[in-house]
Amino acid sequence: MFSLKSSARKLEPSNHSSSSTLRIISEDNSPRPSGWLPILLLILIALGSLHVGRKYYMSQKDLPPGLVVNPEGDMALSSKREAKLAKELEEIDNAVQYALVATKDGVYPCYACPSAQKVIFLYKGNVWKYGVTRKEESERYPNGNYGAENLLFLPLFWGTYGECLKQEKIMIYNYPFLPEAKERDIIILRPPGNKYDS
Amino acid sequence: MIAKEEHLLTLEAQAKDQQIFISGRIWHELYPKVDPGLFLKVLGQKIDLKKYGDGIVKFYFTFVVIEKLTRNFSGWVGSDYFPKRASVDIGIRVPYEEIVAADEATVIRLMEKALLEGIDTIAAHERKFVAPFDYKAFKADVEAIFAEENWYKTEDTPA
Repeated sequence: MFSLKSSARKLEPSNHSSSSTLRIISEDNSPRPSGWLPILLLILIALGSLHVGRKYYMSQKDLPPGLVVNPEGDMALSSKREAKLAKELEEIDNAVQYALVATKDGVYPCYACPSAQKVIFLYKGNVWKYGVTRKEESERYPNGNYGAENLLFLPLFWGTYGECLKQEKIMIYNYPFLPEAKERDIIILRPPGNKYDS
Repeated sequence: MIAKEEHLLTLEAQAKDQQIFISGRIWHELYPKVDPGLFLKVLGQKIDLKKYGDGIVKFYFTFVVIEKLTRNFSGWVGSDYFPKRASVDIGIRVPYEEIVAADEATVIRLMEKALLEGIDTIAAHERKFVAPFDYKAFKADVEAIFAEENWYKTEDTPA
């Protein structure tokens, strides 16, 4: 609160001129009170009330799982959801484009062969499939992830998910030009394990 | 049915009886320097899992030879037992730098070590076994194979 004393003023004639003008002299050097200070205080009180009110309102609102109200009263991501976001962003940055190649001579499923032919003979080292992965794989079991037995996972390119998808397409489209693909009785458009171009 | 199709179906039927599955996740520049196929062929011929019990009917092993394994691919390494399939699935990392610097014999030694280390992890799953399985005898037989000189050089192995 401002002092009443500071507001005390007296009027005395000015010595600088003969005219009857008056000069305002303060009794002390304290800042002059002004009319906007109470208004400012009222605004601050109003803002404070608003903040408390919003905090109460947010705490009463039903938030979906994954959202929480932080100590400031703002809506925020739960720590679990924040961690999920970070993990998913990391996955996008850390992808791998790979080839699955036969670990031994034998028959393997063929999805790119003419419709009557369900399997294909591959020699050890022949490509069965090109693919991209970026997520944590829940199992190490090759059949669970690879789609056939006796396959070897050879990472060909590490990069972002987008970069790996581009690389995968280049490999799939150029598959018919590999010596192993040209030597067969039938020419297939894609590697045996690739049903589609992606 | 033509002869070629018959041959393919015979091979497919043989594949269904397979007990040992040895694979890898190997940086492409290190293949075939690191060749799980050598282990697959010899152990597939010389090991019969039925001899040790019915607790494990399929043995999956993966050599992981990758310079850096980011967090999302850390699951490539580890050991799991699946009671429903009575199978064990093991992924063991082989030191990348050592493989790069190694000659053929050293690469084989590093791979042998990794595989034996993988068999050791089976002990942790013993409580979950659906039937007994003598993994110690299994390991001893694998060690005996590895002890033979040039065990991995089969008739059709390129010199």
